Amino acid sequence: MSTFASKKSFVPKKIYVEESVASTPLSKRIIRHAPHSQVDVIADAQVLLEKAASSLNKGSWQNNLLLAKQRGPFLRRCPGTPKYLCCLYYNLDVAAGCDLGCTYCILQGYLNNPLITIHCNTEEMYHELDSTLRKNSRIFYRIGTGELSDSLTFEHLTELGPELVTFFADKRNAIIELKSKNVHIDALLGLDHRGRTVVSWSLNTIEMQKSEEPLATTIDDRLYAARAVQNAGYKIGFHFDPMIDHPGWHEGYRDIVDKIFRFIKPENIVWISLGALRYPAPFEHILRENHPDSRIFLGELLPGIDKKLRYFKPIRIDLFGSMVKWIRSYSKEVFVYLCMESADVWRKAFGWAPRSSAHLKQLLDDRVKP
Amino acid sequence: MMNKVLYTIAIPDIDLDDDLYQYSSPVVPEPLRLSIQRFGLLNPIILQRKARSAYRIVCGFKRLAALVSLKAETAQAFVVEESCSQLDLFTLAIQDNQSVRELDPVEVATILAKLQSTFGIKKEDIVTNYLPLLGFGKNARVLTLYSGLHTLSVEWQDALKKDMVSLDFAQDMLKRPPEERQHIKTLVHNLRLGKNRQREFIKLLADVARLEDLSLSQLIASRPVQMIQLAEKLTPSQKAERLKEWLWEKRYPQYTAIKAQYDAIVRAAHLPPNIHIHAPAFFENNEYLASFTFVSKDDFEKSITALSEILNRGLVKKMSELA
Repeated sequence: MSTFASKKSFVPKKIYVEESVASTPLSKRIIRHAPHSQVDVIADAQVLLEKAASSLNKGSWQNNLLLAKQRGPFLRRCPGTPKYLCCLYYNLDVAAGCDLGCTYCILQGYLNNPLITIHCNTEEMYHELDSTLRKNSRIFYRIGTGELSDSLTFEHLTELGPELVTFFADKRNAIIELKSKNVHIDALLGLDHRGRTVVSWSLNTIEMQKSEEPLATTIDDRLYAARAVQNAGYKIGFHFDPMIDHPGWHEGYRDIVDKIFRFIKPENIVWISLGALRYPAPFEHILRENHPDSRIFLGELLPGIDKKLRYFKPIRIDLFGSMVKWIRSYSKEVFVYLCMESADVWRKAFGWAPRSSAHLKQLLDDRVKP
Repeated sequence: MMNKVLYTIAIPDIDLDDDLYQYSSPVVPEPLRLSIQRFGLLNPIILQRKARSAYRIVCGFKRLAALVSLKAETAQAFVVEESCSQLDLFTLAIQDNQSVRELDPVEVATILAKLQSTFGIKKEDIVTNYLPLLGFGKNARVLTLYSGLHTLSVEWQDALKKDMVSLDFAQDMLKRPPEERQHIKTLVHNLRLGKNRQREFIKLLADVARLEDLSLSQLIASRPVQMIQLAEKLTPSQKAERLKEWLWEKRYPQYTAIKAQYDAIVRAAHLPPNIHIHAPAFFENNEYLASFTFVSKDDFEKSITALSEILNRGLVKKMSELA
């Protein structure tokens, strides 16, 4: 397996383990993979989370890791956004928080806690998944672990990927999508996934990767990893989200599209999603305070129907329309879709629009149904 | 802590320069001076004994300053011993004022700074033990919000005390060089910007300055901004509106260009005053709203005819194709 020069491997300075999950296989595995981290067993994760949330030096918590019990359900419907088309995805919340620190990441606002948490009661998670999938056997589930965290960034500690791939391998009404900006893929390569896992990478222009995702791996490494995973028979997804309106974006995004098709065969790309930079207006001061040098907040971001700040509509249409044109120059078949956009933007950028969120879900499900 | 015996202390024995417990402005309010002049000191000051028969003021800095200005030779005081905890006495000084009035933001900022730098209290302890004392609850954000405000110039401090600027706006000013603060202060004054608009304008100005690769001072000193500020025929609120429009053109060029096209279409429609057309907010969705009022059948028919005309002239199509 090739090595990736820009691969990031988070090493926690301290691991807090909630007593109730201390003996779970996942907790034990994480602790085994972090032999130099100090380990503290705590009675109640909630107390620690409150302490971290109210801490005056939030930065000091970011190097630590909390292994806790997921008290609510693991599987949740993606909240989407009102009045825009949504793909009706499901999130599997194994982890909350990320070590990559991208400037635009809305987890900075959604998660009011600096402490990265991995929920280690995975036995209950698999039980919940089994029960939900069995009970709703007519519903098809596209499930991802990359909403509240990055699916692969803690893989060197958790080795959760192979577990999930194996778990989903025999599921008829679900797939798991591992969405990442990291390249911890080695453990995925020899598995019998039976096409029930999609491995996806989030992409941006080289310039945006350097300025806005400096702690993530390079775009080239992500594509090398995608190629390795493709060679292992997996279906690949790409997510250009958030697309950022910046000087030179035409050339920048065009280059990445060119690269994708140099690295990956179109028939192995299950979907490419596009979404433009957006965030709830109340989060803006947090993002700006955390990243005062970033220029992405100087874009023409205006309140949308859902009150999130989004690029002025013609800018989004230009971003999406250009991308789809470039992608189509390589493949007419690759499925390209928009994340949380209005039917009007779909029509103006793509020339067509799904009839509803349910229709969009159907189109995506059809890409991965057995 | 304190012996309840009232002493008469010679003012020269009091170290007027010792500001260990001081967190308020030393300026004596005229009503206080007049009251002491007429009725004497009604509320004794509190002093702490220092070595060599000198005293340090715990509570009553303004009262003592008033006595000095009135050339009094002695002051009635309660005296606490040197061995008393300085932190306890600082807390006493805070509560002494709090019992009769609300502390202003500059006083709060000074107290928080002194707790950290003079008394060595950790931030976490301030949040837990002292913020509730100051009436804030255990909200760590308060520390950030008040931090350093006492270092602003007297003019900014006065604006804060008079509630003319918000705490976060004042915090923003702290991060800016004095020259920029001065430019902003003049702009806020010329345009009579209230607290909400100050934030709106400073954000717009800062963003436009970055987009244009200028400092904020350079942007405010630029000819277009100066022209608006100095326009004699405009009221302050008209100046504010004019400047906002100019800043929006710089900050949101594509949106303002489309908005200008829309306004031109509406103007070209020459609609009677009872008919209104509203574009969707920021042209985000594609639903336009046309409405009219009428008082008679004739009125109604005229409005329908006017709306039909703009349809026939292709103006509705033009509107719907804007964004």
